[in-house]
Amino acid sequence: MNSLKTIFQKPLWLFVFVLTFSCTIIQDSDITIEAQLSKLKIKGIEIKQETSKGNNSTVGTLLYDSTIYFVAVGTGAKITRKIRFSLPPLGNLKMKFKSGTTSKTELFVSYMDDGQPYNVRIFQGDSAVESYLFRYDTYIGVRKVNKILTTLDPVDGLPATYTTVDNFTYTGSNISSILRTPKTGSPATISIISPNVGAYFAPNFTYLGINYQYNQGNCPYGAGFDSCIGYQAMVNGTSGSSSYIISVVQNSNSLSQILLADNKITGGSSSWDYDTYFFNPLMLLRNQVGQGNYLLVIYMIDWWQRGAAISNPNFTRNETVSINLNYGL
Amino acid sequence: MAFRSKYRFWLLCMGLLLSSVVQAQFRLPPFDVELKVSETVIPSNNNYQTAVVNTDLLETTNIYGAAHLQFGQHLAVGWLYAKSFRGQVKYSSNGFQTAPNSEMASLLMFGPDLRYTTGRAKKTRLSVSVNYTQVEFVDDKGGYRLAHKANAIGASFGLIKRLSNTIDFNIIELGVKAILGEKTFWLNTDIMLEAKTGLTFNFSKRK
Repeated sequence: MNSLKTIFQKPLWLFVFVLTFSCTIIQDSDITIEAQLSKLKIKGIEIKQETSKGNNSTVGTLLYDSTIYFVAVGTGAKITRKIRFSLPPLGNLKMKFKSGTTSKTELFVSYMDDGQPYNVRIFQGDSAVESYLFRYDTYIGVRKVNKILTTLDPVDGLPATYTTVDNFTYTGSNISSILRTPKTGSPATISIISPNVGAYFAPNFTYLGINYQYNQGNCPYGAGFDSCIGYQAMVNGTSGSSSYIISVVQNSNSLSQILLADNKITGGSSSWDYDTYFFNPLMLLRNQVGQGNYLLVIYMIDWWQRGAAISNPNFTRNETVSINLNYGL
Repeated sequence: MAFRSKYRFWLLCMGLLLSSVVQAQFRLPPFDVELKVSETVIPSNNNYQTAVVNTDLLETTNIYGAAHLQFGQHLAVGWLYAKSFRGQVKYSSNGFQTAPNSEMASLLMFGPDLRYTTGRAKKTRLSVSVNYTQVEFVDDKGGYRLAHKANAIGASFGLIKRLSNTIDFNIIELGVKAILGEKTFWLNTDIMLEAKTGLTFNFSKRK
């Protein structure tokens, strides 16, 4: 009896005993009902690249998520939240920054009082190398995006500053066209040819001589529109095309993963060389911007870049980039 | 003095009788203890259009223990307890394996069960058991955990090989459980599949 007492006086044994024969594994902080998911916040961003040239995985971490309040000059928007992430270098594989930066960066997102993003900025050191400003109409209820201003301002030694202003035109609740006005050069229109192809919320559209066509056949067999959107990009007057998909995993209303796959072997193989994907904030904010899923598709004009045509392609695999959002309490 | 000795003798006899009666009344009945390893799979019947979470499967490996009181050589009533020591969550709905490696599943269940086995005389025999358990399963996503607790009713069928008078080897035991009550929002399922193997230690006089 005394020896038993001695054994159970030792904390380690007691810990093992309790751990082994506990009557519950559910903790107070566990999420047991769907409504509790609203308490979750993004704590990390993992970008995984699996390509024929190699694999790469980087993890960005949340530096802060702060409640603030100020009224933006000019727009009158009430800014109530600001978050900041560190992003490691993406490497030189499939996904890159459009500004060309290959260094570690920091991502800042400020939010309005209705939870929609207002400004997204990517900093390299103390320089804002990429800036995406979301502006909305004054529609009472859910505000719709009516303007996106993009500025790429690489640090020294990289290409010149690039600025565009995208003005949205709606027909009813559908985006009918977007006029892109660059800082230098002529404006060009992103024309929505069919807003909701095949009863799905995916458009066929054209921009600068490239036709972007919805093609669910590029998705894995059985994948529904909720989890996979297939596209085919073709240059007018040429025979080449590129097949790729946007695959989405959700936890209730929270985005869990965006996977971009460059189909080379299966699911509508491409005749073009390996495409490049550029990081775009809509990949993270798809669920936070009004019509974000639609905008993520349209903004493939920015995040997708075709590879050069090659005569004898030797594709060995589909290439994927997955952006995983890690949540925590 | 002689009376006292006579009295003592009868007192001793009465004491012996009483103690044997008491011993007979309070003797521990035959019982057994099971120690097994079990594999549990909770498949999810996700639908692309309606699923809120694309979890396809929750799978755990568990330490399983049970103790039974035996009534005759066929029937036994007892209590089971199982707790996972490893587990994983699988996603494949969208055609890609997406669960981060760090994602872990865990499971706990306990409750009463009733077991029926064929006669012990044979070297190999069959068993059937029904159980009613409380089941808890957790999907640990690193930053947060999804959890569910429910009751389940189940049945299992096993093949037992006698190794000695006191030890049986449960070659395989396959079971299925129906998870009762409202389904959890993150795992669209109401069944649970189990496979077990291990040893049963009998603490009773055997034929």
